[in-house]
Amino acid sequence: MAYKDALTKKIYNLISGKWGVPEFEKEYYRYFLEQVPEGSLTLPQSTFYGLVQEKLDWTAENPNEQEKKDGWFNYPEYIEWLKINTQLFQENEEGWYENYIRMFKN
Amino acid sequence: MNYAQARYQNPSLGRFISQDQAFLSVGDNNQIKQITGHELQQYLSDPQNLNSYSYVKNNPLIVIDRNGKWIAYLLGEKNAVALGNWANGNAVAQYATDHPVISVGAITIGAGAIAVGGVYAAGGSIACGNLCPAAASIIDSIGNYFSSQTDKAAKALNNTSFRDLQVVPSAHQKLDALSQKFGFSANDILSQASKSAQKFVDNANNGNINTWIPRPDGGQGLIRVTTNPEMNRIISAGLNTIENVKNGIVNGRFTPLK
Repeated sequence: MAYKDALTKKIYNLISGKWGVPEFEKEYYRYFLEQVPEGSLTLPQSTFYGLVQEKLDWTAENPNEQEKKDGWFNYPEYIEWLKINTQLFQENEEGWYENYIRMFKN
Repeated sequence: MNYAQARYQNPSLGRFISQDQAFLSVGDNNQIKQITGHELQQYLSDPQNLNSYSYVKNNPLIVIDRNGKWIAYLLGEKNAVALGNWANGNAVAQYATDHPVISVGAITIGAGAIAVGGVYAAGGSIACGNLCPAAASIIDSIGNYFSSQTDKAAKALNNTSFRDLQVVPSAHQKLDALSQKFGFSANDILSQASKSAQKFVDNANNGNINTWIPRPDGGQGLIRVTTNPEMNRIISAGLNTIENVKNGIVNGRFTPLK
């Protein structure tokens, strides 16, 4: 629970505007990869918080048009994606996960 | 070229050059069950099963393969596991059992290769030192094993050298960040990714192709290099946890590129 809470707190620091994306990346990315032990999160949690980390690898300040077609976010788009998914995840973790995997099961 | 019932082995490389039939069925629970007798999740829970170029879970001393598709334990599974634990804790034994054809020569003349677990043995510019047995274990876990292959042989398997591909600017920035983090050039990372014989389609992201290689520092996680589905541009790079990659294989997000 401590890891989940720490990750969630960092996310709220970004979506509340306290941090910008570069600061969030610095605080969240390495923490998730190197401090959160395998097995310490549930499957939906590991998937969600892992996706938040992975999407940072697809986020840049000014991606060009081709990169956007490839799936890159600019900073406001990443924050928007994070806001929506954090809300859905917090409302129903299992439901978020089921919905997430449905998109490539079908 | 040797034909082993269901796949080919290259005697000069000392490696199978076709993938394990069971591994190619990942994603199809019925087929996995038919070949192995196990459910997909159970099959994937054993990292040795994800090394699709290995032979009998890297332990020909106690495991046999009668039909080229699945294994049988000579001494019963319980005894085999005990022996297998020994082999896994012994770098020389592990290398020898993974390379039954060339093991004697390799151990005699290839001390360096043994030290790095075989992962970056030939032509590799990333040296792992004592951390490499861990790296070898990691790379096994995603079926991404290219131990004694030379650059040339690896290219023949993949027909793609990532170093020759266009890298989009934002991906270049991410590669540079990885380079700084690990102290290796972006070209070194791309070179290692090129050698990977295993690539996975990312079904959650346009069918992009992900290639994972172990972190050269032996740390937790994998370096990811992503190309577009046509594999003619590097479009992203970054890091993933092993847990997320495994879960992605189980839930169908990642499927082996066939």
